Amino acid sequence: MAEDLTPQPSRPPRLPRRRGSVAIIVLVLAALIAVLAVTLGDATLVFYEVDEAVEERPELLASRFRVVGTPLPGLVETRLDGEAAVVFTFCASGVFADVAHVGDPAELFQPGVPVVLQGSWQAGSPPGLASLPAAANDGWFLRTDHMVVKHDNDYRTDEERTADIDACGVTG
Amino acid sequence: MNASLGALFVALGLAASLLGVFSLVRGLATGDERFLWRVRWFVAAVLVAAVGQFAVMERALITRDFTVAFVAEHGSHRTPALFNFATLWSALEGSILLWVLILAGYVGMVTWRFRQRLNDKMVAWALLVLLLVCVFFFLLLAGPAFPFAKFSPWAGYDGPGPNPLLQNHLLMAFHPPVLYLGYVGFTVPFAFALASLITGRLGEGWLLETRRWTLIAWGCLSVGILLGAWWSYEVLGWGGYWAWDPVENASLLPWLTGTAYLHSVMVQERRGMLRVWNLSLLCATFALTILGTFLTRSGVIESVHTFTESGIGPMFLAFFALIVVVTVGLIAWRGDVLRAEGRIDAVASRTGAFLVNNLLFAGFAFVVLLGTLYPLLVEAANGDRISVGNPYFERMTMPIGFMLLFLMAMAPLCRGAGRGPRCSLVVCGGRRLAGSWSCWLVWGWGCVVGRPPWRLVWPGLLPAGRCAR
Repeated sequence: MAEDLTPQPSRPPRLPRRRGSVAIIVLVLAALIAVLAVTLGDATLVFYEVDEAVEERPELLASRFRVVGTPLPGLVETRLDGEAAVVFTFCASGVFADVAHVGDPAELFQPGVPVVLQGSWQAGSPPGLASLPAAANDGWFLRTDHMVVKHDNDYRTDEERTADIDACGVTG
Repeated sequence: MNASLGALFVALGLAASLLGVFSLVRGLATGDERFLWRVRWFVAAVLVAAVGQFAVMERALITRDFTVAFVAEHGSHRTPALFNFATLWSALEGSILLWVLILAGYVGMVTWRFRQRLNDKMVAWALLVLLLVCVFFFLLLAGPAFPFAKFSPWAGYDGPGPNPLLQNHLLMAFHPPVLYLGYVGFTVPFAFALASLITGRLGEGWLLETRRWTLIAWGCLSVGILLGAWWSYEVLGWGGYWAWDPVENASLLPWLTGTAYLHSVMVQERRGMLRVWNLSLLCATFALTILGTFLTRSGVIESVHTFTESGIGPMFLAFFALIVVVTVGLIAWRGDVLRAEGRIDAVASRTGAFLVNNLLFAGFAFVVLLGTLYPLLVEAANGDRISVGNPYFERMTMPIGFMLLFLMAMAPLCRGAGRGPRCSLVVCGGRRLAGSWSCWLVWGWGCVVGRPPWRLVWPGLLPAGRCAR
């Protein structure tokens, strides 16, 4: 049988299948990394001690951050913008900051037990500030809406807690 | 007396672990089986030392022996009996004591289980790895986490007692030990994984041998995490069961990789596939328990739930690095032998579903690990102290969680390895999906109208039930 020697139209070269799959995987991975980076950036909060938060106040303004501190004696339950709130004062290294925490505080929340709060600086004075024994009353307060009680094995006796409070010039 | 006796037990434990290691090394190097059989005596000595030091510390706590510095710092006459007992694991040095007790228990059980096969090289290598881990923890106890330091109490001295926040719930007595049973339990399958890599016996035999150990560890870790979530929900006010705190994440990470392993190991048992993946998951699970312990005890990460800062951080970090280097090196060395025998037929098969499930679990673990370590990386880079909030974890893990739920419903419907009808993914999957959605809708409607939801939920189950039949 004679061989058919009629010229055939050449097939367009096809990309190897594997190369296409790799390209798709790379694209998906790149998209995932982008989503991760953006979400991570959005959810990141700077962490401050109370005195650092006061010091950085001009830069922080309305930005949200995390702050750790120990509430001084004297908690005032009040309402802020129509929501239940508790107002108290933080003290660290002799620096005071007033706090208005909106929402229910954690069950173990009490003076002398360190807490971590999330919120931002707000100009003005929260209601009930006059009732606090050692309010900073400097025209700013921390408006926070998320609270967790520190639950580590840092053993602080009642006497040590009282001493901490005394160091801030407040009678526990 | 308690301080001296405790120190003696620590020394005994360290010496016995080291001698056990030397005995095994000599036996493996020379082929003299007497040295391999002899290891049981060293393991017995390790067990005696671990039980002894734990008992001595408990005795010191119960009798309020303030000549032991640990009791002076953490004990008190005012602490109720149950919490006084639990004081041991409420502080760093005591928690390492508990860890060692559980580790010694596991090593003892492995030795007992394989008591007729101590001359088997695989068992010998596994015991060698286990005893090396014991050496590390006894070194911690003898060094930076020494719990039996002496103290000279003055007349009428009473310690401060544990943090009041650790004395407010019964779970303080149960959550940490159960969690540790899980953490430490993963040492056993890890040891066998390394042994299989070293001996080159990379078949599926060792998987079957260690399956029960893995399940026990995974079960305990699961229960421990659940107890912790329950505790935090009840009393801590962390805003629910889970707050994505670094310490919580530290327990979740090995659970995620352990869960992935438990799924993918079935594929290896049945089809001889995913060997490298399984070994990597197992080693990652153990490495993550060590990394979690480092994060919890070194003070490098700001958490509401850590032990106090201590000098054990660098040792844990070095141990973690050693584990990673050794396991990666061994897997690379055995790369050729680990090549899979079979192939995945189709993505829409049960094997394919297992693989996707594993990728999702690995992705989940990566997302949590990144969010947990990101503050460390940022602080190392520019000195800023930051924390990653819940929105990151929720946004990134929720889609993965839903995909896992979807797969849980789908995988049983997919055809198994080379048998049965073709996957009826579309028909049955659609029905099952409709069933689960109708369950939720009916449940929600029941809550809204105030009727008992279980009376309304049955219709939602029907499509899924029909499909399963």
